Amino acid sequence: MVMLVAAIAAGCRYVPDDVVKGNGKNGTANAEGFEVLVAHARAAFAQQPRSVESVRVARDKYAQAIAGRADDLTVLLEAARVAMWLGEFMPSRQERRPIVKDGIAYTNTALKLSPDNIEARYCHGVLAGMLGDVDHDYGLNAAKTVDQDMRGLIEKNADVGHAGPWRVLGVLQMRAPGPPTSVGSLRNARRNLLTAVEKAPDWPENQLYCAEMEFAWAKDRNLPAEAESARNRLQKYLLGSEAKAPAGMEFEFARWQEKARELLKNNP
Amino acid sequence: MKRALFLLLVLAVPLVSSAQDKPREPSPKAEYGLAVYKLGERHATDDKAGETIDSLCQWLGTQVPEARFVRRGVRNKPDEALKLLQDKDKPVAVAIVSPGFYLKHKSALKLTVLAEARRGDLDGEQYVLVGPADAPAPEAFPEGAEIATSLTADSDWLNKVVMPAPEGKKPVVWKQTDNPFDAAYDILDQAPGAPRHVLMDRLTLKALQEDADLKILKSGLKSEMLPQDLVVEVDGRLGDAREALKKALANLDETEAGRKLGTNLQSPRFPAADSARLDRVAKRYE
Repeated sequence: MVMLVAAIAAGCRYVPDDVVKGNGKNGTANAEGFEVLVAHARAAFAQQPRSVESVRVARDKYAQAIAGRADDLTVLLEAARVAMWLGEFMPSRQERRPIVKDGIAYTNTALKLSPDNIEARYCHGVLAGMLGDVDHDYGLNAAKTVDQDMRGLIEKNADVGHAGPWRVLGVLQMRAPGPPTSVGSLRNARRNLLTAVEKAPDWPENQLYCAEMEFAWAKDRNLPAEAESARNRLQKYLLGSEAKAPAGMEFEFARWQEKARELLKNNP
Repeated sequence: MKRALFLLLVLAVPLVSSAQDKPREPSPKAEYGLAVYKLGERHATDDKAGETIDSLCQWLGTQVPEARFVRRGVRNKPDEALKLLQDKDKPVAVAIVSPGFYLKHKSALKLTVLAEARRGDLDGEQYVLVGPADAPAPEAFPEGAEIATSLTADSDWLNKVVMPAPEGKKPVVWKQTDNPFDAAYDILDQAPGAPRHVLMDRLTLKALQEDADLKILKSGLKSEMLPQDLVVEVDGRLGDAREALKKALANLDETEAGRKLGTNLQSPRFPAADSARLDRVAKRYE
């Protein structure tokens, strides 16, 4: 997963720090109802082939479960992952907004339960980036939040999201305006995205964003060899005959392939 | 479909009644085109900044009686900005432009300065050269040196105003960078093709001095204090709306909505321009 800070317009709202009400204290759902809802949610998210509709069902079930009981760290993180998925793949920006905000509340709650939890911190940063994308009023603060969360994880050399912290921070640095407005830097993006492909070369998303960075670097530095490297990378990991989707990730892989084709079209 | 029609009818009834109660239709608001040209800002495009400028237009519409402001475009290239301001089909009445653009086109486009930006709440702009940590900071004009800047699209502004070569000295060589921080990293990394110095505005310099890696770089020669971006009226097109617009921009930070806009525009308010400073700089263009 990667947040999509496609446009960091200057914005001045703060990423919410709210938690799910009744956290750990006032669970009202009975245990059986909670387990049933979570089981339905898991089944819907695991459904193959995955679709926006099935993941929306998962989201609704998790929301119902968490509304009754918000003290299960595993369930909160699963719900946050579902929010991340919809935040990335759901077509309507307007519909993504409340889902992403709910996801942030889940991660805030998870971090309250387990402040050093790596996955919760990672999801929090990714969802903050997505919030900046769906609502530009949050843009600047969202970028700052992503930067802080991912830097913290990189310092810990955190193994999460297939080198996720390096990829997410790299994408942010590649697309955001430079200082003093934000944290954009092609040089820093290059470092982080090359680290991501070094740490998790078989994760196609890492290769996709690394190729995007190489095209940008080629243009910025007038280095045609970098653009050639990007084309080879896209062929090898996303578009060529040997490119394969990771197990159970066919839906996501198809979307990454679309982005890869778009990149090639824009960088002839 | 039937349900939608029913809803429309239900909603329409009170509107019709309300219209009948009024003695006459209010006169339509006058439309004023607004454009933005930001030199050296890669993200100053309709795609990236359009939403913010739309918010400004909307807010101005609440501040200036009988006026409606409409975004005509956000540009970062001078030729494209010029085209926008020359368009007679979609006339621009008010624009935020760089001081160099104003000085170059003020006669041809009949531009009048209404206000000046205060980026970072600072009065005026001053550029400074930043160079390697291990070499003396350039306090004197660095004859013939390669200097990275995001402002190369306006070489007149750079060569006549920001860092003019003293008599008999070879001018500096400007090198475009979309991100002065990356140019500073190139100096730090001793990367191939790194510039000798980077030209930075005050806010970027402040950010550099707070960066764990880059703060060891040395700053030196400074430009004189220069105007920031200017709000200009085009060809007297604001008419009666002019004074209310000036007042609204000068007092932008007095309301919550205005403060939010000021943050988004990176200028908390737009007071009257420092005309003495502007006149001094204008002489370089004569």
